[in-house]
Amino acid sequence: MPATPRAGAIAGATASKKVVIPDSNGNPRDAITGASVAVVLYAVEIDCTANTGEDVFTRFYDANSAAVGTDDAELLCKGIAGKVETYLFEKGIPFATSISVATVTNAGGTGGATSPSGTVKVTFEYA
Amino acid sequence: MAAGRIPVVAPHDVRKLLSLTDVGDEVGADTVPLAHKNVADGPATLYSVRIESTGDGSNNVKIWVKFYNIVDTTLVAGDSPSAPDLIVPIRTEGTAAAVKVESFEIPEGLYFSNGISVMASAEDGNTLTAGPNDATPLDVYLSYV
Repeated sequence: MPATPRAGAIAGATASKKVVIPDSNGNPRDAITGASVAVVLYAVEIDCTANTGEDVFTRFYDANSAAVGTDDAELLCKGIAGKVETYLFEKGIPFATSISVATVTNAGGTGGATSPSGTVKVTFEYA
Repeated sequence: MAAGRIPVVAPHDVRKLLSLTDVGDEVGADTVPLAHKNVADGPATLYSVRIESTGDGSNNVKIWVKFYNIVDTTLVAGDSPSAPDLIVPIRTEGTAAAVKVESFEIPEGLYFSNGISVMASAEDGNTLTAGPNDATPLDVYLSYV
């Protein structure tokens, strides 16, 4: 996330997390906490400036961990090749269990687990 | 991220209201997603969405609104395009007096090369086999160019 937020901050967010999906990583998932902690998600930034080969899809699961390609995503956001895409959720999206996140090249919120060809940085704000 | 200004998305050329309403027997009651509406019949960039649940939501804790990069004028409730570009949940439980609202903005815009179609489902992920109940109509407002 740039030092100066690209799109401003959302009231209510108290923490942020950056997940870097390295080049062609075979395991495109990560979790915020690894424990059961309910959170509310307020903002997502998908930085594909180092991933110019294809668009990506970041899946957010309401779980401590996820079976990418099988589990259903709670929230799906698209990232554009070579660009930064930001999503701002004014009311916040509640996750009852926790957040796990995966970034893949497969469209949709369920099937497919292909990692991006370049590095993708996903940053999100939550409380 | 430090506290900052409230994000603002500049006005765009088109602001459209979709009323996604399960029309009961016509579309098979609760067994199919809400009516599937084409928003833009051609390339479009989506900047903001506001989703309002105006019903009692008695049988649905959440509804997922799914946005597809497709144009198909023959789409009807019950069709199952499998790969949405964007999925956003909205909580709908409560009484009619307590309208639930979710809104989000995409300051840089999200480009749909073919067009935008929208479907509401009572299931997460790509699944579309169940729809919200009859008492859970949604109003979806979109800003796009």
